[in-house]
Amino acid sequence: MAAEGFINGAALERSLSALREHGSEGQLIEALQQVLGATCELFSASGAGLMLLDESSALCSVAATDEAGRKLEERQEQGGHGPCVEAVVLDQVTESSDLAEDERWPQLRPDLPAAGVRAVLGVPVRLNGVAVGALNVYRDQPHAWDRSEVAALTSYGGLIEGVLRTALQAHQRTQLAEQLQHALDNRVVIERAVGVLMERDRTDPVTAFNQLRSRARSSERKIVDLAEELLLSIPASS
Amino acid sequence: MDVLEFRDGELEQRLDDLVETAAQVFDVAGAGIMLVDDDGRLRLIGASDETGRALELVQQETGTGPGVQSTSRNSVVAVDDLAHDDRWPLIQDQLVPKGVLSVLSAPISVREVPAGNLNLFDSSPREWTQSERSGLVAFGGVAAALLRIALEAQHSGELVRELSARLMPEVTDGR
Repeated sequence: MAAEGFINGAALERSLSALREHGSEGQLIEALQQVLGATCELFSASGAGLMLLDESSALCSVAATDEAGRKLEERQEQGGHGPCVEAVVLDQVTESSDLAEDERWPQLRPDLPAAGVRAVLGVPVRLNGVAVGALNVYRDQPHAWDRSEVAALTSYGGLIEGVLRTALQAHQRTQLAEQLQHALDNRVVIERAVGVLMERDRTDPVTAFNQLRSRARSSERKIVDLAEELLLSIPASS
Repeated sequence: MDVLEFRDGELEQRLDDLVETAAQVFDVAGAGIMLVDDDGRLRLIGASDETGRALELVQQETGTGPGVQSTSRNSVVAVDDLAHDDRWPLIQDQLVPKGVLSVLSAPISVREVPAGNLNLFDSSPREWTQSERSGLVAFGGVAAALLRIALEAQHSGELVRELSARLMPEVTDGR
């Protein structure tokens, strides 16, 4: 994307390790709120919000900077019509210079204009090239969005993708870490049970493990459960 | 195991997008980002072009400049006309010939700790407006949010690596 862009990876690495000492654990919602707040500031908007598709492909309101912004999203979430819905469904920037006069979405009148939502701009937020949501900004006065505003907001929507991607990565890794920790805990139990069997039956670890495994298989239970049972059944001396 | 692979370059790409977007949103010639490293020194991290890179490099080398000052004072620093601004002669001498004539710097702080700065520059003198100043502060907040999340991703990635090494030493040793 950025042909001329320049990034100093080594310096970045050192900065991250410096920052980590301050124990900063990021939270997605907090980050998105920061991004949305900045959106208002940068685009002189009255408010901004973010809608994302959920696992059933329904568009949900995720965050909004104010009450009118929340209303803008809720009305579209319930009715399935509006500029932000179109931004996601058609995967293109969708604008309305004044909802009070816009023939495309009569359903949004008169509530939204009355709540102070007049000009609206919806920009698709993509993840790996697929539209997964929309960044929405609104103004409380009619406003014809110009090309540079649309281009700048589109580019800004790309930053939200960056935040989402990074947050997903963190989430996936946290889950994987939990699974690995679980596997590690299980293995400790199994290894102790193997040790007990080796001592009891005077056998080698492979035979002891296979014995556990075939017992688990024939009784359709988990090896770790059998191992736990075995450990509980012996006197608590060792 | 895909998640195990450290996607080196992911955050770099994010920050690259960030400076590109900053240049576009503020409609200026370019932008750059500096971050504090583990020795407490500000270092250039990314820039939208060669000129932006030069702007940060000279600040990194001299330890002075609008970006450096914005981090240390935790406030916006504006240079409307670098050719006639004598606060940083070294920077003036090196950058005016390169076409950097105005600079706007805002601090980046993560959890109230000074973490770096975001710089905009333009090829002509420019009176930075109040809304540009507060806008850049807000943009610095976006950079901070991104860094916070990246730290979390990195931390959990390290945890995964550590647990994998304990669980599958034979796999991780061979890497």
